[in-house]
Order: sequence, then C-alpha cells, then structure tokens
Amino acid sequence: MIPGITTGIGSQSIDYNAVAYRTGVILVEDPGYCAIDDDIRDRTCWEQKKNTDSKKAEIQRFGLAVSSVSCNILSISKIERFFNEPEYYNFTPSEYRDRLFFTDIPYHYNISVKSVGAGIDYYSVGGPVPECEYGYIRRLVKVKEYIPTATIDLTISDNWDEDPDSGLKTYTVAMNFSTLLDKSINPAYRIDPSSETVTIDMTNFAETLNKSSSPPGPATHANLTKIELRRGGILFDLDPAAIDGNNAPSLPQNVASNISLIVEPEDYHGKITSLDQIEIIYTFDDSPSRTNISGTFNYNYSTVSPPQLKDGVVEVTVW
Amino acid sequence: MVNEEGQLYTIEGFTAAAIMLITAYFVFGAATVFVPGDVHISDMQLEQMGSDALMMMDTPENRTEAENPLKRSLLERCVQGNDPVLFNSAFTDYLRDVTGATMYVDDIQYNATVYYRIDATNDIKSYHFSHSTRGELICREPAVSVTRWVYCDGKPLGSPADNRKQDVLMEVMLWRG
Amino acid sequence: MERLNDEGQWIVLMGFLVCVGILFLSFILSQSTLVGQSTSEGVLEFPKDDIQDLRSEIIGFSGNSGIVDNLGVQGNLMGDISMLAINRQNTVCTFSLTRSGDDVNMNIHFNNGVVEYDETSTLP
Repeated sequence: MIPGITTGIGSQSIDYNAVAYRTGVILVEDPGYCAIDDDIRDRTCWEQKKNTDSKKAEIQRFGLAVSSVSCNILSISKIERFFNEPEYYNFTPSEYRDRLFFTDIPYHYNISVKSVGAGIDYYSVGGPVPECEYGYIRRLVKVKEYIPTATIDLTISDNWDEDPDSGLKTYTVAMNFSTLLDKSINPAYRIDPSSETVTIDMTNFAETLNKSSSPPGPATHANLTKIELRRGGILFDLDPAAIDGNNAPSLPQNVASNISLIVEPEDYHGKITSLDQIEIIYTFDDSPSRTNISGTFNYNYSTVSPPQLKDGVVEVTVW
Repeated sequence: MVNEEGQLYTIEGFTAAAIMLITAYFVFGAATVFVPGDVHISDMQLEQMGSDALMMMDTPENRTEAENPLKRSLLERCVQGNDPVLFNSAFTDYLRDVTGATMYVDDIQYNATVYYRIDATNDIKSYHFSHSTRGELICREPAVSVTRWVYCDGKPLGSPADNRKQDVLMEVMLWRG
Repeated sequence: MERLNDEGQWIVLMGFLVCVGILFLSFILSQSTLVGQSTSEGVLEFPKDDIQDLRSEIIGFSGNSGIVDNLGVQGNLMGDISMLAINRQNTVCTFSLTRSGDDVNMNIHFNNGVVEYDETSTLP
C-alpha cells in the first residue's frame, strides 16, 4: 500500500511529460485510423466519416498528418474536424481520451494549434491549463492549406470553345485522378480533391454570351439549368455556391458574370481510385441559346496552383 | 519487565513514522512544483523542439520548391548561401513559436556548426555557422544536440568545404539560457 | 544495557523502526525517479528524428536524377553521410539508390548500437 502511494508522487510530473510526448507524436506524425466504409477512400480519412453516432464510433485513432510518410505536415480539414471548428462531430472528452491517449487513466488535457499563415488563429480542445504540474510538449508543424480556388477566366480564349450553334450548351471541368494523385508527387504537395474541398470560380461569363441578334438584341445573361458531377456512369447534382455574387441560388438561374462552385469530397463519397476521372458538367439550356460556351477545362497542376504549406505550432498539455 | 508503557512506546513509534511519511510526502511533492524548468523543458522536449525546428526549415513550402533540386528548402538556401543571419532569424522564430495555451516562455540558446568531409583526405572538418545572442559559448548549462543533413549542390559560399555536390551535417547545440 | 533503565531499549527499538522507515522511503523514491528518467531517456535514446532525417534526405536524392544516375556523385554523398554519421552521431549509415525502369530502388541501413533500421523500398 505504501509503495502505491509514494511511487505516484515521484514520477507523476515526468510521467505526464511522457504522455504529452506520446500524444504529440500521434497527433502530428500520424494521419489517424478508422474502419473502412463506402464514404472514404482509405483508413486514414477519418475526417470524412459521416456525422452519425455509429460512424463516429468507427474512428479508432486521431491523427492530423496529411499522410503517414509526411511527418509534421498537417491537413487543414483534419485540424478543423479534430478541433470542431466549425462545429461538426462534437466529440466528448472521453472520446478524445479513447482515441488519443489510449489509457484508462482520466487525464485532463489541453491541445491547441496555431498557424497564422493558414488562417488558424487559435483552436483548442480540453480544459484550461493549470498553472503548474502538467506534462507538456510543443511540436512545430506545417499546415497544408486548402487547395487554392481554380479560376476559369473566360476572357482567356484557351479556357473555352466557341459554339455558335443553337441549342443546349455544356461546359465541362475534368479532373483526372491519375494525374492529380500521381505517386511521384509527395502527398504533402498533392492537389487531392478526394480529401479536400475544391472551389471552382468561373469568371467573366459575359465573354461567352451570344452577341448576335438572334434572341431580340444581344444577350445579357444565360440560363444555367444544372451542374452535374459525373463519375463513371453515375451522375450527382451539385448546387452552385454563388451566381453573380448571390449566395446559394437555386437552379435554374440566370448568369451574367460569375459562377462559383464548391465541391466537397463528401459530395461524391470519397471512393476514388487513382484511375478515376471526375467531370463537372455545367448545362445552359436556352432556345435560342444565349451563350456560346462549350469545351473542357482540365483541372490539373498546370491550371491550378498547388496548396502551400504554412508554419504552425501544436501544443499538448496533460495533467 | 514488560509493562503497559510498551504499548505507549509502540503507538508513539507509529506516530513518528506517520509524521515522517507525511513530511516526506510534502517535501518531495513541493520540490517538483517549484522546479518548472525541469518539469517543462526536459532534455527530451528540447531535443524534439530543435529537431522539429530544423525539420521545418528543411521542408519545402510548395511543390515547385520541392522539385527544384538546387534550392529545396530554407535550410539548404541558408547553408549554401552561407547566410547565418537568415538562419538565426528563422530558427529563433521557430523556437519562440507558441500557441498561447500556456503562460510558459522558453529562453532557448543555440550554437550551430556545420560539419563536412574533405574528399581527398577523408577528414571531417567543421566551421561555426550561427549562434543566438548569448549562444557564443556553451557554458555549464546542460545542452542537447540535434542534427540535420543538408544537401549542397556545390561548395557552400565562402566555406572551406570541397567544391562538389555534397552532404554536410548541421549540428545545433541547444540549452536553456 | 541491563544497568540502565529499560526505556533505553525502547528508544533503540524506535530508532530501528525509524531507520527502516527512512531506508524504505529512500528506496521507493530512488525507484520512482528512475521510472521518470528512463521514460525520457528512452525517448532520447530512440533515434526517431535521426532516422526520419536520413530517410527524407535520401528520398530527396531520389528525385534528383543527377544523383541517382551518377554513381560517382552518389559515392561521394555516401562517403559524406557515412563518415559524418560515424564521427558526429556514432552511427553506421549506408544507402544506395538504383534505377529500375521509371522507379528508383532505395536501400537504407542505419545502426547506432542501440537501434538498427533497415529499409528497402521502391520510390516512384
């Protein structure tokens, strides 16, 4: 009985440091682990699990790294899910303990992250840090930003083909995953739409409008009837994020200048093998047609700037 | 010979033992509280900190940088261009970076040396690269050493190293100042 | 002791008790510091960062065709790494990069007397 009481005293503070160290390693050097299902591409994509109790229970280990081969490079979508910013999974302290500390001892913890470059001012989970007697580790990291917005500027004639014929017009954005996820590119620098949100902005749409007088007078807008995502033979409908600056419009909608589209990996259920191709098809249905747009935009490393890594810091305190 | 007084002595003995145990409990409990230096920044933490800082300086920030064999990272640029000033400011910033969750502030001093090999004689030589404001001399403070390999596409500017493609070793001693 | 009054015996006995108490306590204390020390020593001793650094450096080489295809340059770099590692890290390090088709085969050997690490992998 006496050894039980006293060993605790001597090793407590150092033991906390060891727990903090281990937790820090799991967080920044591991991408996490979860049970596989149809929604996710592989076992490390725990942040794409659906927000239901049974799916949440399938997350077995938290980890913030982009991949197991890129230590200290963190994924911003994992950070947001882990720190619940914005509110999503709402993990309880015991869920954090089970998936991060792997022990029955009810440690108190505070985990925080800051990365000014990546727009993370201060996220934290856990209780306020006491003034003394806690285990501590600080890890320096890089945060992989979101994929920068792909801007399709229609004043650039290479971005679209002119189709003066009357009738339904379609414009395609094609993502080829064998090029995007090529194994020769380090996961830390990949554009990976299967794990990150993609934003596509089509600007200067007026350039494509039909200027001939076939509808009475030159066209001032076109009518966007649907945006579809095609994977193999399967089609999903997508909703635009904004048209001409108006957020969350419902289709069909008139377009005069801009279409902004945000595609979440959840939209097409993450499962993408490296051979897959995804197409996003914009359909304009006017009679006679008010836009001459047609053609394909190839979404790849030469048309989209790759994500940057920004400095950040993670602190783990345990007591 | 034995009378009831013996019982009293035994009780007294137990009391003495209890007092001693309690005193020890408080003394040793108090000792760990008042040594924040040992609690917060043991060698392990310092070493992790230094390795992380060097690793971050050696991580290219985007794909273009990563795939350019000549100028891959900040650390390689510092060593190749022999720019201790840039190294000092970047390294110090990394060492000071905190989220703000704790009130604790470290004061870490460092002294960086570059080790290289002379091909002709197979000797290991070194030159001093950079140090923090009070890092010129490694004093009595216990220091930890962290290292990082740095690839140089030629002779590091103004250094006595060979003029060839080579790998040099950056060694940084770290201690609390 | 027989001539003294018998309280002295009790004092001696109590002294024994106290001594045993102190001994016991100091033993436990030394044990508990050892626990904490060995945890952080274990961390310090395991060369996680050294191995990660060596790997990332050699993977960096593999992306540079001037190193993979030029055995002279590769030999030089290997000389640098193994000599510096022996001198500064007390570690035996060797590596090789060979091209096979589009891929590069990488071999790493690392041994610092406590931890041995060998890796053979194919880099695209």
